[in-house]
Amino acid sequence: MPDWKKLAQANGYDIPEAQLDAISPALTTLHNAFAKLPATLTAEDDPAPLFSPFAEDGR
Amino acid sequence: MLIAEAAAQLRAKRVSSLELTRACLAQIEKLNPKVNAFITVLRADAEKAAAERDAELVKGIDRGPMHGIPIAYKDLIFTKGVRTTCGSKVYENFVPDHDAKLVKDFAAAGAVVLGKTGLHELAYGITSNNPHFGTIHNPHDLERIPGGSSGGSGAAVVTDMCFMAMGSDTGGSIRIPASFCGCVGLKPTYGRVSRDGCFPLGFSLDHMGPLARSTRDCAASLEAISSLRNSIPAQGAASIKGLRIGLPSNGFLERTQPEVAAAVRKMADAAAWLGATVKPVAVPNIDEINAITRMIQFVESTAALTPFLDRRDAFGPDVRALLDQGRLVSGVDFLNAQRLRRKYQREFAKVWNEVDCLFAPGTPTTAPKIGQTRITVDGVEDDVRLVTTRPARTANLFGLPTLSLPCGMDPSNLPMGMQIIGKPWDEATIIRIGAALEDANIAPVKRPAILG
Repeated sequence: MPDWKKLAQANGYDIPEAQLDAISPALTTLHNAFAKLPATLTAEDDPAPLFSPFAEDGR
Repeated sequence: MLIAEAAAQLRAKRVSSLELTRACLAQIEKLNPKVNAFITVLRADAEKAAAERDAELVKGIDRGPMHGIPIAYKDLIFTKGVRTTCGSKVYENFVPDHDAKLVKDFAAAGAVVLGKTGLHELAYGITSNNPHFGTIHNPHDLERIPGGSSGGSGAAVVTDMCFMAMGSDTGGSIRIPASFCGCVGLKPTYGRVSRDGCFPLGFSLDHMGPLARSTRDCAASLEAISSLRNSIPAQGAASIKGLRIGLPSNGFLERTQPEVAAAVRKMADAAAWLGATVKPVAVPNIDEINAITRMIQFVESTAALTPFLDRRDAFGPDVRALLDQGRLVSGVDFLNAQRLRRKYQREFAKVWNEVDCLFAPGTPTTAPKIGQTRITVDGVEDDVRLVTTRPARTANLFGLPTLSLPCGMDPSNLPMGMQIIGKPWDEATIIRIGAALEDANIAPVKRPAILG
């Protein structure tokens, strides 16, 4: 589990401690929901960094 | 009055665009102090444009279904020479030097612009409780939220302040206000409508689309700003015979207010009665899809606001907290989320081998109270934003066209909404189903009491 305060500090983010305390539970919940998913990826799973369902509308 | 009705009356010379425009302006003057749907009203410009559209019709110049129809834009859509605030402090004095592509398209189609509607700050939230431009109120109950982020657009449409208002949808921001306010919202396929000249919230998740009082009104609006054509069924002639409708057997209908779930099922029964085949269908885990979507949105939204991140006091507390969370997501997690997106898209696409569309709740509940942060559904208490966006984000992650359609009133006399989720680029099918259900008048939505 990331230590959000240390992470913010290491990146030099000016997020006050009280506000870090307030967002930490939500970040932890999301992290927990997400953390198991990348294990299902294979080397063939490329990212979709700029997504398009098919082709961009030509207009 | 609907857009098609107004268009017919305009051409029959029974009403003028100027009269329609002044009627909308009168509604704004009367109700905006209570509802706060508009940030900017362009009275003089609208009256001038309406008179020009009337003059064109006299000369035989007819620009099509939107000719002379009064509309509004969510205040994150660039309008040349008109302040575009994005509902924020950081853009409060921003005046674009050009129009958004969709604004140019509506101008070419002859629409009359009444003004700019309010929104959740930076479109980053679902309450439209805006710390800089004031709280927007749900016209059905002024103590409740209209939904967001396109809350002003939803509130304006159901109070007859305009015939259609454009919204944007990154995690449900067209469909949520449509559901809470009792109007129709159409989030098109990703890329169907140009995002050029629209503030980004999530570069790969943003969709621009209309909110209006009927499916056909949404379709007419969408046709004016995209390559979609011939999607509007004739009144009473929207056949859905033979279409395959999926009712998700997992995910979407779970953790939903019982009345909303029952209303969605009632609409499915009605579709079956109208000749469609309705069948249960299993879908990929939407809670996992939501985790992937939120990971991507956190990073995209924080990236979009990078120039302002050192102005912490310029943001409301909820938006500031979301932007901070975006800073703390790792690059590895973001890229893995983008890899998972493609993997889950392949999985989700298998649904389209079985059905032509999915029915789902628009929102799991009816509109919460202003200031309410927690809500209990099915005995589980959770954050209002997470509960409300739960059935919405799938269509953003995969860019799927989705119609939000009213499906009745709950025991508290609040509108309930459903989603019809379609295949990529198949807006025509979901429009056909929405129009057929409206024609059958299965679940009428009452007009807000505030209209008198």
